[in-house]
Amino acid sequence: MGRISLIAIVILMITLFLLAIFGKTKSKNNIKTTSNAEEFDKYFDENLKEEAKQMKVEGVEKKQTSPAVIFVIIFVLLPLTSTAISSFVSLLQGRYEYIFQVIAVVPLAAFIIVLFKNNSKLTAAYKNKVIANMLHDHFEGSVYSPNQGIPTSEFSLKKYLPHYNEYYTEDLLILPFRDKKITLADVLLIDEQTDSDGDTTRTVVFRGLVGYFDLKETKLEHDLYVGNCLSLNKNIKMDSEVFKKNFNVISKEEVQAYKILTPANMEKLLELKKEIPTIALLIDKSFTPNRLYFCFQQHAFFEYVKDKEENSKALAYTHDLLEKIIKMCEVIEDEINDKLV
Amino acid sequence: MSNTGFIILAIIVFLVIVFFAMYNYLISLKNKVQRSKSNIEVFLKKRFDLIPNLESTIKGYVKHEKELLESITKLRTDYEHNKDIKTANELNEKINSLIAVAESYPELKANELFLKLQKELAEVEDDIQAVRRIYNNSVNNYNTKIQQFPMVLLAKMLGYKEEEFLKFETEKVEVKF
Repeated sequence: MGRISLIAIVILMITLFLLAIFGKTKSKNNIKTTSNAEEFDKYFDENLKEEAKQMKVEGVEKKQTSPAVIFVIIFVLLPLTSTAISSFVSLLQGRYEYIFQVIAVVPLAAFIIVLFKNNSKLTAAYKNKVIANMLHDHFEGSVYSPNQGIPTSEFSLKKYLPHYNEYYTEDLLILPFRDKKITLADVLLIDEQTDSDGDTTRTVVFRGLVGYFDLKETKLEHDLYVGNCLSLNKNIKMDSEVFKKNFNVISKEEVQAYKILTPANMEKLLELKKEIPTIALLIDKSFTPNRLYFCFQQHAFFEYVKDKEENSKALAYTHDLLEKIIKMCEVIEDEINDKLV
Repeated sequence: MSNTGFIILAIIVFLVIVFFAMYNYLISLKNKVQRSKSNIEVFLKKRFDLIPNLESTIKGYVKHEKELLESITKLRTDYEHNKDIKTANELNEKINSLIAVAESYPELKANELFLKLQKELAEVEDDIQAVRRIYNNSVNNYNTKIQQFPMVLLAKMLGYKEEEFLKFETEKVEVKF
């Protein structure tokens, strides 16, 4: 019986060790990215403003427990504690000895679990205090919720993006911006496919900011999407060769699309695309009132290295980008108000 | 059948498939042009159908514009008979002129019916601008394809000719109140 319990404890220790190291396979920090994110990263490095180039926007340094520490805890501390308790209870007779051996493992396992959970609590605490304060400086009157995002039911852009099967969102920011109430959040979309050989590939379909605001009640008959995507929906061919090369226009109503995308507006969108190559807009009539969505690919918006000055520069840069995007959205909104209200 | 025979047959089948694919594509381009042209006529008619209401609303106010009103009526009748694009353009210009004239009549500006008509006319004018662009775009695509090889061969065989672009008249008059 002693041998069996020893084997059981060893198996338990190995399982705990493996879980500690590999258990978080779905963390977004472990994604194997493909060309979508790599191309954006390349653009990000080549085209940012000088001060932004010096930023390291690779994600917050989370307090991760290293494998070495985990090893020591499971294979050294755990057996020592277990043995100590066992020795103590060896004074007991029969089955009580084995029961206490198992019980000795439980507090240590709980300690390990709590240790990992505290990592995410630390990140939320950092965001709620540090990031939230900085956001107030750059986005006056904003309301920031790090653990909330845009619900999948309100993520209208999904119809126009390539296939994905995992949706992550966080860092909800509601802010008054140029007389509008803008809702913003980080969104990450992943497509996981397993082939016949059992190999799994995880592709980042989209990683960036998604935002929207309400329009006045309109006479829109169909949605209008302007951006890049691989959707097989009907594609409207606009009357500008340059615009056709840079944007896909998708709508069920061609006349409506031409009314909104005047030659002047197409020029403005092309100018915006020079600054934000991945910009996409969606006028969504399924909501009441109708909504105008925008999105662009970017590194994690709210997670930067723990340097206040660099974070501030990054937020200032994002503020500028948002200013340009909202200005373009307002042009589209004016066109809609002029012709479709 | 010998190998050579099979190869020749395969080539013939391939060429036939290509021919039909090109033919169908050409037909779809031509139909798009026709459809766009038809859309223009639909929206022009929609705009011109507002003329009687416009005339009856402003008649009492713009007594001195009798000549303008008469020319509009005449042009509308001509257009209904011949559906000529030149007539349509001219009629559109006259409508815009009439609306511009209404600016100088404050009583008319305050007339709710006139404001409603003016809004409807402006909306249809936006539609007309859009469908004209669509038409010119489809003509451009069609003309380009029938000039390019190998579609040019098929187009000549079927007697397909280039379509004419629409020339826009002067920009619509913006009425400011």
